[in-house]
Amino acid sequence: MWGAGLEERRVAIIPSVMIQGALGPKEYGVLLTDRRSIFVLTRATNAAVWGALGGALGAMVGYAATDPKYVAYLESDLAALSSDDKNISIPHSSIRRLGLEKKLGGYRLQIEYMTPEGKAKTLNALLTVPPANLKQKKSEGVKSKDAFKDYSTKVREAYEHALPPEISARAEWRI
Amino acid sequence: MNKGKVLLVVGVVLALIGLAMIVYAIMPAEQTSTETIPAGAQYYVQWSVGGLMNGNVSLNFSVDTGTVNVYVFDKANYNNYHDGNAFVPIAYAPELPAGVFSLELPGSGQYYLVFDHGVNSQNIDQAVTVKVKVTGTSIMGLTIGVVLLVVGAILAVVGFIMRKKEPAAQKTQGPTDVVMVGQQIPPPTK
Repeated sequence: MWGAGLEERRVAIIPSVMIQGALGPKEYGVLLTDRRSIFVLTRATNAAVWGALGGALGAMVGYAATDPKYVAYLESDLAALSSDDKNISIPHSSIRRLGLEKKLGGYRLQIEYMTPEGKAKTLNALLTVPPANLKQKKSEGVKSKDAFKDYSTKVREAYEHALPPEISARAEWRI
Repeated sequence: MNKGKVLLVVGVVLALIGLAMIVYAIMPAEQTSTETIPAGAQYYVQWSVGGLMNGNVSLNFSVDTGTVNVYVFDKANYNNYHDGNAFVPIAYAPELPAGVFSLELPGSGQYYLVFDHGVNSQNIDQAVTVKVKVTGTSIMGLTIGVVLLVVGAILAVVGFIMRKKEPAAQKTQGPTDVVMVGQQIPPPTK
């Protein structure tokens, strides 16, 4: 087990979650390693700016007009992804509580963790199935509701593989 | 930012707003309100309507006490009435406590519905309740709606064509579902 302390293993990729930012919703992809969750920003809409220009319609236009950024999750350098200010990196050892539950509006992932500065933080992410996935599922006769459930189940499995056993055992799965 | 997509979405939104305005412009409008004519021979109350194509006004009114005279004026004759000059109403009905009537508006200008005191009611306050239904096409609403619809449709078509011409590189997609990796990453080299 000499290498275990040195090597960081990529476990899974969650292609899309949505986090509400001060200037509007932001879309992230999540790269799960056996040590941390790296939320990689793929689309920031600045909906507040668009909203100021055109109200709710403006915000919708702003979101629809922005394409998500392509991220090479398997090739990118973990340290670079993690240190990018636009991304959110949460070491699994800092997680105090992790829950995934079905709420009004969708499946929500909630992670309470401590920052390196010792501050308690909570991350709320809404699981969003990528449109291409939804389209494919629909063509196979799968309902949107079931596609979201399937997606959330896979997210749960991904986290169960990535989290240390003691944290995984405490995780709350209400899906 | 994808310009084609912006144009497409803006175009569709504008076209939908335009369509809604067109529907609103041709739908009948109905309103009920009460106004009081203060005691005194010089007082009256008025409602106005205008800017309609094929306009028609249906009216149902009642007075709480006494009788009123009812007039329908075009703008010039309303001004004459207001200023105390000679006037010719389009329609006139004297000394009524209540009534129902319907009137085709002769043009697209502004028209005024006026109530003043009947001969024996000049020294009392009279509350007039009017239920008015206006049919016809609002010229301004229709014009703005058509312009928005046309501009929106053009923007949407241009946006759609621009999207089709996007370089393939912009459409590169990442994973579309949760992917389990299990890949070993070598430790960083110093």
